[in-house]
This record gives sequence, structure tokens and C-alpha cells, in this order.
Amino acid sequence: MSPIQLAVDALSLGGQFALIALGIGLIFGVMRMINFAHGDLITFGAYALVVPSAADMAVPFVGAWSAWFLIPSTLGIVMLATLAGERVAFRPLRRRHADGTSLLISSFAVGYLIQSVILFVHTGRPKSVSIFPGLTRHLEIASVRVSLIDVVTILVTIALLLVVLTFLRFTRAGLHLRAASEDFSMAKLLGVRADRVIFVAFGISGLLAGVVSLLYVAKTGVLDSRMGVPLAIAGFVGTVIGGMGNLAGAVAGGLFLGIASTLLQALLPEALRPARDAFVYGLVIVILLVRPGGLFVPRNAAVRI
Amino acid sequence: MSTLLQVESLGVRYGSIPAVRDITFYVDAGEAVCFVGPNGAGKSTTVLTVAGLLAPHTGHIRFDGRAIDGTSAEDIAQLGVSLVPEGRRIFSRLTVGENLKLAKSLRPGSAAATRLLDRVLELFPILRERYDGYAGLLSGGEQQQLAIARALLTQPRLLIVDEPSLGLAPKYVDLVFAAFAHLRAENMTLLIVEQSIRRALAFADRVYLLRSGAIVRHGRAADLRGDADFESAYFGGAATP
Ligand SMILES: Nc1ncnc2c1ncn2[C@@H]1O[C@H](COP(=O)(O)OP(=O)(O)O)[C@@H](O)[C@H]1O
Ligand SMILES: [Mg+2]
Repeated sequence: MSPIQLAVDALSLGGQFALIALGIGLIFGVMRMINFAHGDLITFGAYALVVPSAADMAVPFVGAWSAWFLIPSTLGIVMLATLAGERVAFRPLRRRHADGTSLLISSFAVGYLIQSVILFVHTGRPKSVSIFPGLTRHLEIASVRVSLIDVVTILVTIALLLVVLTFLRFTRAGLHLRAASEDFSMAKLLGVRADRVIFVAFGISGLLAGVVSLLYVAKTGVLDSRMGVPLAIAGFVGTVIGGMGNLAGAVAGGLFLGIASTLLQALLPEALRPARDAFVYGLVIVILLVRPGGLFVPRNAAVRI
Repeated sequence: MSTLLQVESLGVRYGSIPAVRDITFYVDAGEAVCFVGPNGAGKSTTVLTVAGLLAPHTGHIRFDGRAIDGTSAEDIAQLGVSLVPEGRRIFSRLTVGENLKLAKSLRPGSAAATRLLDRVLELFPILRERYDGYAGLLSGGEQQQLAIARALLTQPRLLIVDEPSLGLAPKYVDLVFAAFAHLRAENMTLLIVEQSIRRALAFADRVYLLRSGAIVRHGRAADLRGDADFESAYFGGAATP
């Protein structure tokens, strides 16, 4: 494989992980909760592309529409599902001052609920669906072949990260979100509306999940009720190695994880490749042993009380 | 003078452990009131409960005649109570300007908002110099000024400050109390938690002495100044009022 191909692969996977890690990190910031349902919301968005049915042949539903409708519909559906989850599963717990563990369990419940409903409606057999068939082409750049979808994934990731970071940096809602991520009760003392901040965090997180649904299906063409689980784990690990509660760190952590996986896949001897994830997660353990606060947090950063 | 804050028989618990038992006090509009008392007396617990971050176990809190026990912290802030909590709690990852903008209750960029910001920055000129720097890089004294400035930008009718002088160099303590004196002259109502009895008596109209979760003495500062009993009550000599 040429270095350029390798770089494109690595950045495309890393970009996807970065979007997932940011989606999880945004919610962690304001709720101090890891939303394990994030991966299943990605699955939910992917399944919205086909008509609900137990038949093996998937009939495109949203997936049959033109991109102008397909993209906003999928994003809207995942955002709504994410916000509904917050409303039904998390807000009542927050009102009762539930601790982080209850919220975490609740997020597992939401995730399993989504998986079970999909399993019930669509059966457990993977389905195939094709969206944006034009993107599966390969580009030939200076006699190097790279797949168009990977290039698009990288560009979409960059654009989306810029949009989200600009929103956080320059809007009032973004300022409220950053403040609440640092010290939620202090933000409340200043009159910042908790529900509004959490709504915004879940909304953006849902948007990011929806984008990953589309990118993932466009690349693989496969639907599977458990497809979101490894994605959520990758995103979660990304936020941890980036330093929990640090959004730029989450992005960097996700990117790092995707790049490390791709490089190991390419560089490990043939016989060891099936054990790639063992190497990746072994590396994660080593990183956390050396830097428990995350890769991108200064080792001697003062603990805030 | 009308009563702005009225707290009756307040009891607060952490889990099943009572931190504050049966506290009754009031603050009149335009008054400066100080809470004094040793560590663990329940001063912070009381003000956090007034601000809505802790729920009362028993008792009633009224602000401007309206019951606010059970009201959320954000709503209490909107009603005009601003608490600068112990430890200042500035947002260190935001800039000084962002910390201030966060609190601005007025429409950002409006003439009134600019005037308000100018007035507050006049009180704490250092913040103007540090406006674009990260708040986490400020010294303790500067952070305290930022915390108070930020609270003022919510345009409170009652400003509560929990231990403003904790860990500050004397020159900053003087600066902060000079700012309080200025606010007082503008008729701001103040409730200040202060460790130093001497400073509390010099500054306040009235003083409450808390110990072990109860008010053990209170009175007009002018009356308590020469009172030897008062100081011994602080240190536990005479616990009964
Ligand atoms: N978060 C907490 N959890 C449990 N107990 C607490 C907590 N905060 C304070 N306390 C206890 O409540 C009592 C009053 O504390 P506090 O209100 O902080 O006193 P003060 O501000 O007068 O020093 C103390 O006994 C303290 O140990
Ligand atoms: Mg205290």
C-alpha cells in the first residue's frame, strides 16, 4: 500500500472516530455521563435508510431519496431520537439528582432498547443498502488509487469539526455550553439555563451521530443491529485518551485511535493482523498508565476542586 | 426599610448529617450583613441553600416576599440573587471577557450592556487589561475580582459573597472591601461571609455569628464592636446567646 493510500485510510477512520468521540465528549462535558447509546443512535440513523421489515432484501426508504432530502432527513431523525432519549431517559433522572452511575445505566438501557427494537423489526441478519453509489468509485491521483468515500469522509469531518468548534467558540449557546462543561453549578448561579444547555449538547451530539450513520453506510453498505457498539467504544476510548471533559482532546483522541488502528493493520506482520485490536487497546492501556488524565492533558495540570 | 431576604428555621443536611439546624435571619434592602464563624459552622451551606444549589431540609426562604425554597438556582439568579461561592469558581478555560459575557443579563452589545460592563470594569480595572487572557492565568486576587465582577453583571438585587478574603494578599482584601463599600454607597444589598471578626464588624451594619450549624449571636455591628463576649463566643467560650 502506498503511503498516500495509507494516510487517506488512517485519516478517514480517524475522522469518523473523532466525530464519535466529540459527540460523546459534548454530553460528558455537561452531564458527566458517558452516553453508551451514542453508537446505537448511529445504528438507528443507518436503519432509517431502509423500510422497516423482516425481509432479507432491504427496500430503501429514506435511502431512496435524493441527497437533498436524504441527508437532512437522516440527520433530523437521529437528532430527534437523541433528544427524545434525553427527554425520556435522562431528564427525569437529572431532576431527581441521580448520580452518574444511574445515568450511565440509563444510557445502556437506551442503547439496548434501540438494538432490541431494530432486532425485532429488522431481524438480526445484516442487510445491505447502497446510498451515494457514486462515492464508491476510486480516484487516481498521481497513479495512486484512493477511494472517493474516504476522501469525502475526511473533508466532511474537517468541515463539521470547524462548524462545531466555531459554534462553541463564537455563539452565546456555545459559550454557555463551554462554561457548563467546566462547572455546571457555577453556570446555573449566573442564570444559565441548564435544560437549554443540555438540549444543545444532545442536539449537536445527535447531529454528529447522524453524520457518522451516513458516512458509515456510504462506505460499507451494510446494516447490522450491533454495528454501533464498536463505534461507541472507539469514540469512548478516544474521549478517554484525549482527557475526559476536553473537547479538542476528544477529537484528537479519536483521530489518534483511527490512525493507530489503520497503521497497525497495515504494518503488523500478516500473522498478527487478526490481533490488531489487542495491540490498539494494549497501547491505550499503556497510554493511560503513563498519562492517566489523557494524552493531551499536561501531566502536572492542577486538579480542579 | 423593607426586608429583601427572609430565612426562617432553615435546616440543611448532607445525606442524613445535619450541617445547618434551625437558622433564622434576614437582610433588609440596602443593608450590608456579615456572617462570621469558625470553619464548619455552616456559613457556606446556608448561602448555597439560599442560592438554590442545596435543597433545604426544613424551613422557608423568601426573597422580596416570594418563596424561593424549591426554586432552581438558575431561576433564583434570574430573580436577582447572585452568589459568589467560596473558592471563586471562575471558568479557567474561558477568557476573562467570556467569563464576564456569560453573566451579562442584558442584550449583548446593547448600549445598556456596554455601560454596565464599563461601570464594573471601572471598579476592577485589572480585568480590562486581562480581558482577552485565560481566566485560569489570573492570580487569586484577580480571580476574586473577576468572580465579583461577573456576579455584578447579572445585575443582582442581593449580592452574596462567600469568604472573599480567603487566601488573598492583604492588598487584594483591601481592594475587594473597597469595592464592597462602593457598591454599598450605591445601595446594593450585601451579604458577606467573612472569617475576620474585626473586618466584619468594621464593615457591616449587622453581624450574625454562626457555630455548629446555628446562629449563636447577632446584633448591630456598632453594638458588638466593644463586646468582649462576642469574640469569646466566636472561639467557643460562650456558646449561648
Ligand atoms: N459537601 C459536603 N458533604 C458533606 N458534608 C459537608 C459538605 N460540605 C460541608 N459539609 C459539612 O457541613 C458543615 C458545615 O460546613 P460549611 O457550610 O462549609 O461551613 P463553613 O462555610 O461555615 O465553614 C461542616 O460540618 C462540614 O463538614
Ligand atoms: Mg465556608
